[in-house]
Amino acid sequence: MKSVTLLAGGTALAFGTMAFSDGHADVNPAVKARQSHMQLYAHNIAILGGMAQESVEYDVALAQIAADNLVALASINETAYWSEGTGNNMIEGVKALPAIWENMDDFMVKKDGMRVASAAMAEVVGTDLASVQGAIRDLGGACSASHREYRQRDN
Amino acid sequence: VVGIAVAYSVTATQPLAPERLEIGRIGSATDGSLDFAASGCGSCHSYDGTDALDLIAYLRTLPSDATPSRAHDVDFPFNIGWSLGGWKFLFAGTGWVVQDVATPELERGRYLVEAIGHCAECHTPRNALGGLKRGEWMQGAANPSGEGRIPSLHPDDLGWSGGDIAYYLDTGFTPGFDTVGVQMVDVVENISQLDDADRDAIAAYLLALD
Repeated sequence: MKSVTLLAGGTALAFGTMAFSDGHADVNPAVKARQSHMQLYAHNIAILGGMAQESVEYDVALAQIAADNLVALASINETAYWSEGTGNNMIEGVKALPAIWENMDDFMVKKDGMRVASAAMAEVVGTDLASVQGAIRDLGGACSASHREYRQRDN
Repeated sequence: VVGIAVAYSVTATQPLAPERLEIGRIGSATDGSLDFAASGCGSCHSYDGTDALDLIAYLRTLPSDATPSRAHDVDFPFNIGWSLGGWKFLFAGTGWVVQDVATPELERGRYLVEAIGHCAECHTPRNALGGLKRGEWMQGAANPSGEGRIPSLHPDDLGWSGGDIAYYLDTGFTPGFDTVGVQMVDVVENISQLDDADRDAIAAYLLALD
């Protein structure tokens, strides 16, 4: 069994939200904020995913914390760090496609899918492992819904 | 890129005739005409006959749409029927790439990857004439429809376990719990509907590539 560590208190996030484009993903505050947000998502999904794959022991308390963290992350208003001029056509190393700013309403609808899927996970995560294994699919689907149209292909 | 081959409309009002599927499967229609493969791929040569008929049966259940099929928009010489026949003679229907399938699982994986899934159509680079470079099988290719590259699925490059591959194809999650993106979202959506044994077979095939 792998051991996992948990970053608790998922809402304690301090995001710099100044909207300017300086040409580098690693120093642009808006880009750094949203990439950090994605890392927190990945960290908590990994806890649940490891349990779903049965490579990590199913731990109800830990799973509930991870699911609650996802709910907290999905409740954050991200508007400020999806600022104009921070797409991959403007900043090197960014994967966000310009289509985001061309279809911001749809993008936000896709992101809201993460809130719905996270809430569903948080509701069933304590039931049993099978419930986690079922709900993790919808989490993956919610992420992919954004990545399908709005994230640059990996090289 | 020499142009765009437009997929045929295959709805109930414009049903896919069996001979159309034969175009994909054997390289020419039963009436002798030549055209681009019905599914746009040269990997359909090894379709099991029953699967081909099942595909037709499914396509005939799709909602009707009277919109006529659009013409292909391809450059010379691909806009000439006989040249397309030459292309198919050279590059389509040339048989299995992986010859040594020692187990039923590997054989099933080969069928799913090389034929039904036609994974190589994106994941294998092409030569100047658009034929797949079979010597660089599944080793990644330029993205024909935009920026970036289609990644290599060769085990030396991918570095995933069989369980990782099967789980990705089931849920869309990578080993690091990123999720599938762009066109692969649709691929995973479909492969997730297969049973576990089929995803394991795909993984076994990919891990066995030389």
